[in-house]
Amino acid sequence: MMKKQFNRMKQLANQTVGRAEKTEVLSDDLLLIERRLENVRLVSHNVHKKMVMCLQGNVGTDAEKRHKKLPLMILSQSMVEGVAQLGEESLIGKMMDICGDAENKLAFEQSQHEVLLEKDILDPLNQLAEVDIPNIQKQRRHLAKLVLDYDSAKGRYHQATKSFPSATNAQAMAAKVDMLKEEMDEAQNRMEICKDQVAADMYSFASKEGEYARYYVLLLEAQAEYHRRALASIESVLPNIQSQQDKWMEKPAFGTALEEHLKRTGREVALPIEACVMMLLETGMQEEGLFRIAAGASKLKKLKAALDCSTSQLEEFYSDPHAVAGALKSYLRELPEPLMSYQLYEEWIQASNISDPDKRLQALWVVCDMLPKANKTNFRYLVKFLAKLALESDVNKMTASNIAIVLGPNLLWAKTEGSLAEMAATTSVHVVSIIELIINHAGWFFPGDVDFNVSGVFAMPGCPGTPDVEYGTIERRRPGSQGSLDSDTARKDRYRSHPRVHKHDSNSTVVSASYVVASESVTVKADSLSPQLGAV
Amino acid sequence: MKKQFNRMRQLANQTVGRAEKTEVLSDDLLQIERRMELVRVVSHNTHKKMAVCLQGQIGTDAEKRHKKLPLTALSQAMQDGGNQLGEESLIGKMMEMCGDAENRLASELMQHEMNIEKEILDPLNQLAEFDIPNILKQRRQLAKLVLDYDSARARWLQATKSIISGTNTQALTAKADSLKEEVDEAMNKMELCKDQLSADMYNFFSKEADYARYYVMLLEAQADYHRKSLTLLESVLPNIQAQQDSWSEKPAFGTALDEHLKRSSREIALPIEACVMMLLETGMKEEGLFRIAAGASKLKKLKAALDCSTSQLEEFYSDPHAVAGALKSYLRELPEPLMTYQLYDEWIQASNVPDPDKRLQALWVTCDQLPKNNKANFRYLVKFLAKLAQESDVNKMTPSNIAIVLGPNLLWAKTEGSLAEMAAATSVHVVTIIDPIIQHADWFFPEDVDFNVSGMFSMPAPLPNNVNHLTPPDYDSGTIERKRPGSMVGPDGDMPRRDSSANKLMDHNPRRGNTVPRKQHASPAFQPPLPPVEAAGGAGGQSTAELLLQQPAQVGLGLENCQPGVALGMAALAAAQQLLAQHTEEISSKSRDSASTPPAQRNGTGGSGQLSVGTPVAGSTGPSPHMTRRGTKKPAPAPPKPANPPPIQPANQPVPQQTQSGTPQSFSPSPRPLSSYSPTNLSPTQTQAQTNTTPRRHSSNQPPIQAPNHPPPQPPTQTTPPPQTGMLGDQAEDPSPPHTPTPPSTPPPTAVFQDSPSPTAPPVFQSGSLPRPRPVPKPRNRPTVPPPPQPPAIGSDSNGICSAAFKTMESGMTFKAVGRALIPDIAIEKPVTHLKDADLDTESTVL
Repeated sequence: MMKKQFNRMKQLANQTVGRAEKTEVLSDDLLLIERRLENVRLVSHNVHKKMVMCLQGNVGTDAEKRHKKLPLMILSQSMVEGVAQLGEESLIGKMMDICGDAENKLAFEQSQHEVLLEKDILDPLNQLAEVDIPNIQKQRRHLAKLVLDYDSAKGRYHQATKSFPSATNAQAMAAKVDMLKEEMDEAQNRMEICKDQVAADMYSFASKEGEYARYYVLLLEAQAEYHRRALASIESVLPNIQSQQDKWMEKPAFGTALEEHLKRTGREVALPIEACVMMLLETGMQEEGLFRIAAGASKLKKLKAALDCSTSQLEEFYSDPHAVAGALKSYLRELPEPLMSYQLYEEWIQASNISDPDKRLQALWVVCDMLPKANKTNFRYLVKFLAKLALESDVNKMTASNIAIVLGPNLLWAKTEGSLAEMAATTSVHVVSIIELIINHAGWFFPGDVDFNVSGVFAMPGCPGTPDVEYGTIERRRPGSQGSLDSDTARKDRYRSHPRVHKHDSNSTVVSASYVVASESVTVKADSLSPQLGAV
Repeated sequence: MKKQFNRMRQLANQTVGRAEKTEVLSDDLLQIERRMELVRVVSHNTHKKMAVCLQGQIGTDAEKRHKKLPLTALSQAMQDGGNQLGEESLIGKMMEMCGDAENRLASELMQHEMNIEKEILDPLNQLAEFDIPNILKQRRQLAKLVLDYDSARARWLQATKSIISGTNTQALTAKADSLKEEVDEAMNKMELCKDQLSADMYNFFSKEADYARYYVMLLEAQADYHRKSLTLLESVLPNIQAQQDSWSEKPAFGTALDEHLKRSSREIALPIEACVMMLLETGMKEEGLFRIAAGASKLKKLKAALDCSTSQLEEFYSDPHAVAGALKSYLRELPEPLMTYQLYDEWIQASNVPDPDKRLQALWVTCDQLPKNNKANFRYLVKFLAKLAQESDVNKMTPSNIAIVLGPNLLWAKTEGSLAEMAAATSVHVVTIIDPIIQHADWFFPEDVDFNVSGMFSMPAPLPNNVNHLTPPDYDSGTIERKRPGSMVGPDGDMPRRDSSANKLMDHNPRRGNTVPRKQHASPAFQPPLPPVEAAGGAGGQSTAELLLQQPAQVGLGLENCQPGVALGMAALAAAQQLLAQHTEEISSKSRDSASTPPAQRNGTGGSGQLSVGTPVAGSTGPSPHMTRRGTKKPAPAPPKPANPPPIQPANQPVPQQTQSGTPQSFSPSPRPLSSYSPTNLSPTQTQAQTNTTPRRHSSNQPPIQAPNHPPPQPPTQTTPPPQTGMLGDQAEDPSPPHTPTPPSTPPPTAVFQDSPSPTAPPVFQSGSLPRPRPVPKPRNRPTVPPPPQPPAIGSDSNGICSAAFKTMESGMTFKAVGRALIPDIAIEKPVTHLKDADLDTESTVL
């Protein structure tokens, strides 16, 4: 072995200085392929490394393990746990449940995709860069050594043959020459075999270029397939999750279009309108300056939020009529389109400009009749309430004119409102005249009575303390009959005015006031009965 | 400090139940409060996990995020790789296109993640880390205010109680008033805070749908991302796939024939053409070709080189067995046999037909059903194998042997390998199919084949030149080969030149004819030294032709070698004259025809001699008599051609032809001995010379070779025309037509057809020279044709022909005796030639 190494080094040195010829065993095309091998190896290696970084799962793990480790899978688990915490009945819970399941499926698709990439592209690329090409290069280096051996043996053989004629010991020289000849032949055979092998492998590599290039097509195809399947997975879930979202009824009413709100809640009269009207009917009809006096900001904000929340606990707001009135005004003003609609704005203004009073009323009626069904229903409900409020204007000071002034701009405004202060002022004047007339002639515009408690969910709260029991009892009886309701309402109005007067006069405690009210109510009842009998 | 103290005291009192606690929140608000905490925790967790799903860095802008994505790094690596490999490389192209696609995917991913971060992550984070915590903070503030209120009220109540029992009423009253104010103030603060908190809680609750919507948006964003990525990939894939498909360099071995031909735009598969061309060049005389296995490493290397479509196949010319092995491998590795799976049963059925003629017809029908591509390649291959079989006396590969070693590579059953017995049976059938097809190749595929269909394969330098020029020939051949594939003009240019040389030969014919008689008289003097001189003459002829082609300077040497050839020719003429004297006029004329067939080969030699003799006048006189005889002999090849047109009956007759051809073969040796040794030496010379020239000359060899066989079979062949009509009708009705009765009555028509077919032969290259010699024989034939009394004249003519045949046979017997005595010498010389070839191979191997 040492001798062989020595011979190789000597031959290499001789070739370097040009003293010995070098056998070139590879053809030009093979040399070209050899250079190409190295380039392809480097490029494949780099691409393989970068592609591995693109994967989110752990390389080399099986599908199941990889699936569990994927970030999407962890997200899915987190969502599933969230569902457990929030509960199924919650909308967020439902959404998270469906979304979590979808993310799980996506994680599965991704793990499948990455396993496929690894098997079909990464492993072959790695095989090419780290095994196949290095093997060929290794054989190539081996061939170079064999060529050196052959050249060295040939050199020694030729030298021996040249020295043969002049040698004194012909017999020994002949034997040596024969031995060297055998060495040379053997070296040549080994070189030829190795050369054939290297050439075959190189040709094979060159012919497979199309196959190697196909890896990149496969990558794009795998990615397209992954995205296609992921898309299909999500698209199968989206309709479900979106329908769940749409089915959820509890959504803010303020700022939502009237039709949308009514449709979602299955109502005919908007919740805020009915709620506020019912509460005002209960405790606000005697309140001076109702709709004019501004409520406390915090109370108003709270009430609006509570109405948006559809909570049934509104008892605390009965004691604050101004907050309720403020909420109603806000609701009307915050509608995307006025209750009296944008598209009829011009018609309303034209009708209000008619000089003849009777014709003007008729024109207003015609325009009112053109309102969309939902708008018309809610407008009628509201106007009927406002008319009732105006009936007690001697107490609350809210005449039809006053109501029109404070509420009109919340019922009708131009689309371009705000562009000019003057136009706004003009518009306001027109709207006030329209609303005033309609309230004054509510009975003519909307014949028939209105049952304000259309949804039947609003009950009257009782007074605090012992008297609460008494009033509660009375109130429970009253809803049983319409007639009794009307009479009770009238009675209440009368009674309430007196207790308040007493309150102001006496300045005594709440308890004292309650007692006074109770005793007076008995007396008043006796009086009221007498007039009725007299009338008969 | 006092406030803190008051709060702690109140809390303690409430704990032990000594003081009442004011509950300020309604039940629904309390429920919302509990829910808020759950939502906060869940949102926080979801946000955290979702952030992990992102691959980019959160918070970074679009450009920075894009640069950091793993897909972008992959894209960059691919584009760099594409630059390294170059545009002309398929891998390079694919990488560049793929890299661009990955870059765009990275862009989509970046936008997707930015969108998710803005629309989902940030709002979720806002909810979990700000909104809900703020509400909770207010809640705690409210609790404190409630404590303050409760504490103040307790103190006020206590004060009012002590007024009644107090001695200092005035002071106590003042204190009570002060405490009252505190209570009122605390209550106001509490109410305000409660209102604010309630509003926020109600708002939170009403926004549940908004929060839930985040999860719908996540899915929608993901769907949109995948949709966009899919759209992008689907727009790129057709292009990159088209590039992939347009790449024509793909392995041929193991690829379906149709696919390979389509991709490479060929009609004959590359490996088939390459191997056939190489074998035509150096493998036709190799003993045991296709039977002897090649070295494994050489075979593997050649197959890889063919797969690689490399143009450097020179080194394989010297290893015919490797080339044959590669051809066999290609055929065997086709996904479907060249003769197809679907026709397998038909082939087997055809091979089982007992009647030889019907069997051939059945095979023909099945062969005709092959798909176009399979048929074209099969025809190409069979024509080559037939040519190989023609030299079976040298290479030992008869049609039968070829069928045995190659048959299983051309046709096999789909279920082959399931049972050894079935495989054996299949192999037997396949051999019986391939054997007759090779034997009757010209009947199955009448037209000639130009094996060099793609014009890419050129001949390397002849081996003999290697002896003279070891190093230079390699370089020369390399240069020539490199040039030839590059342009088709080369071969075309060569053709005109050869044509012109032929014309020159024709021009010289008349002059030389005049001098022939004189030299004939001188020839007897050279008869004794003919054997050794003939051999030398043959070798000289070969070298002369080659030298003329490549090294004109050596013409002088050729001249010297040609002189003995001329002497040999003269000797042959003398022998012919003797024969003439022995027969009658009619018989003598026909015997001249038969005797002229061997001299045809001499004429070939003469032709080469003329080329070399262009300079010396004395030498040029020799070939002229050969040319004259060529004219006389050429009518003979014409008859076989009309036999080809009727395909069916020739199929029936092939067997009889073979039988008859057997006899002629026994006769053919006799004429050659007559000319002593010159025919034997000359024929190899012609063969080699033509081998060195274009393949077309190979085809020109066939007529002269076939000539010896055609004269005897001519009678039965010519008899077919009249009975053909009737026989065709009979065949339509009856499958078995009678052959035996027809021969006796056909001799006269034969004579007639002999004349008529010859004029139709002119189109052939060599036939171009026919018109000139024809005037000589035509006048003689015309006197015999005009005789009105055809019946008695025909009868006498037929008898004459028969008698002539018998006489020829007798003379043949005589010649055979002479030939046998001389054969040993010839055998001795041939081995010498082979040995030289072996030496040449060895030297080339060494090189």
